[in-house]
Amino acid sequence: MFFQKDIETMSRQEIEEIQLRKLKHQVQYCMDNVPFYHERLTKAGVTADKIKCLSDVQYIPYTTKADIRDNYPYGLFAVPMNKIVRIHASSGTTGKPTVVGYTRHDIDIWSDTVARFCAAVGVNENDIAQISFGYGLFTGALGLHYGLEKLGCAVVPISSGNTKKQAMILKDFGTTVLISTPSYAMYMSEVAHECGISNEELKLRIGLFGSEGCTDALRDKIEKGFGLFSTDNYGMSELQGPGVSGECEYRCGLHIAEDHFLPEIINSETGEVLPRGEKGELVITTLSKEGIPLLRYRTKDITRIHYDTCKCGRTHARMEKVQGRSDDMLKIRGVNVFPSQIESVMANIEGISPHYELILTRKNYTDYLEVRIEINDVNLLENFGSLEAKQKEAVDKLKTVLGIQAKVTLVAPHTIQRYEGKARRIIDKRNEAEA
Amino acid sequence: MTTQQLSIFMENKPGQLVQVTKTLKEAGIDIRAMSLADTKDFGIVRMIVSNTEKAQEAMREAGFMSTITQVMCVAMDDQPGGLSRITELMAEAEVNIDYLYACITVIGKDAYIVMHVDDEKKASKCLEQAGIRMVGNEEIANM
Ligand SMILES: [Zn+2]
Repeated sequence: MFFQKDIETMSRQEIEEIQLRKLKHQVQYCMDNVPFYHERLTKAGVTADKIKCLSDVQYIPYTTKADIRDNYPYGLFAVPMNKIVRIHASSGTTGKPTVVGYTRHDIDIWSDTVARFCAAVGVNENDIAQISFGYGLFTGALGLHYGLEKLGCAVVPISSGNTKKQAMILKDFGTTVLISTPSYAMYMSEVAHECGISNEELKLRIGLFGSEGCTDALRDKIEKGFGLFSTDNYGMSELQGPGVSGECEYRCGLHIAEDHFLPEIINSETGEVLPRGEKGELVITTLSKEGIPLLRYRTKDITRIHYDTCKCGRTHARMEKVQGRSDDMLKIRGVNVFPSQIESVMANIEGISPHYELILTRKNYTDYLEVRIEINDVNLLENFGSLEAKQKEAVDKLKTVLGIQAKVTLVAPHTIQRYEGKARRIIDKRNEAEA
Repeated sequence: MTTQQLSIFMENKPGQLVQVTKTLKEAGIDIRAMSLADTKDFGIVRMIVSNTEKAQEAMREAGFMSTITQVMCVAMDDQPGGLSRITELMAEAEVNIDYLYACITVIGKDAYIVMHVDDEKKASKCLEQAGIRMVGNEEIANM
């Protein structure tokens, strides 16, 4: 199903013509309305006229999260406050949040791009959509909310938390579409089953999971747990929120809304633009934003982009599922480790729950990784050897995938923290004073 | 004849075993036999109790994972050679004993051992033929 079929299936040439036209406009717009960009672009000698083809985007300097923070709160806004109808912010783990403002037109585009990926998996006006993202400054909940309303769904804005009630409403309201983080969906299915609600009593058919990474293996577990089909979507508040890209029913990459966002892939260390098809950091230039336009924004997310037409008929480029944010990457004993790699190992071991915790410590200048996993198969208790074998299996599989000897600790069910939003599974104690 | 055994998963951290026994005490459950197998990190407590289902429910509420397994509870003479007679019988019958532990409760001259074997039917038959008594949950509850 399509929300804006003509746009979503136009030829590559048409897409690029639109992108070039909009890019020139956006550069001019930034030059005229954002002092920060006026200075940057002037210094770099870039003007809208000098942009003759899409690859000329490379002459524009990058924008980083730090730039947004340095101009806290409204320094990068391109319009006066009387044109802003919404303000969101992403919680900074350090320091001030990054603040973004939306004009009415921005909200409209945002809702369109969300409606596209929702329609792409078959969500329609007959659906009842339960939004279990936390509402607030975070863009996930309201982004989906507006997009789903635009599609004509009945939106249930329950927000996150009170999981037993969530389960009750899933059943009583006949919810057909669930919106949450993958971690929360998993937790909710556990709670629903504990409350005696079986999948047969639920009408759930689609999950729109996002706001944190999710491996295919974990997705399979959630889908089995709830008996639904799910897709992944991507975005970040700086760029607008969800809707920058999203999977279609074929789940072979996330279609980027290319009429509104111009993607590039760069080498995150050198800043050099990489040829099409290579893997690197995703950089996005907003093409339609009025409130806070961003030129060449460094997302820190590592992916690869495919430009061939998808089986679904969409021509918009597909980015691979983000394997990990370059910020999330852990360096353990000099080895690069993405938490998603550990998650995929965990999800492929039978008899343990998908909840886990990573604890990093440092002793005598050496890093130690401890992985705590919950056993959830009572049959393991029949025989002491099978518990030991399970522990060894986890150690061996981690070693194969990560190349690191980890300590695996088996813990009792329900002892690892559950999350109603993004899961925080990494406890890095390496910077604490050595005991 | 078999009897129910409760196996409880335990993380190896201070106070875990105390919490197990305390939980059972508060639920009014008596422990008849108990064994603990552990590594540095985790352990399994196995026990024969006065009311297995109730014990499992109490453990579940206390946040412990447990399972109920059928094992054999064998009465033997409480005198030298009692245990070796049983193990010899099992060896003759080619039955493997997975694990074995003694009952805490001794009544009169009888002592009991709990064992889990790979072939319960064969083991029962052989013990019966040797005139050795096995007890079930009912008798254990009334010990
Ligand atoms: Zn597609």
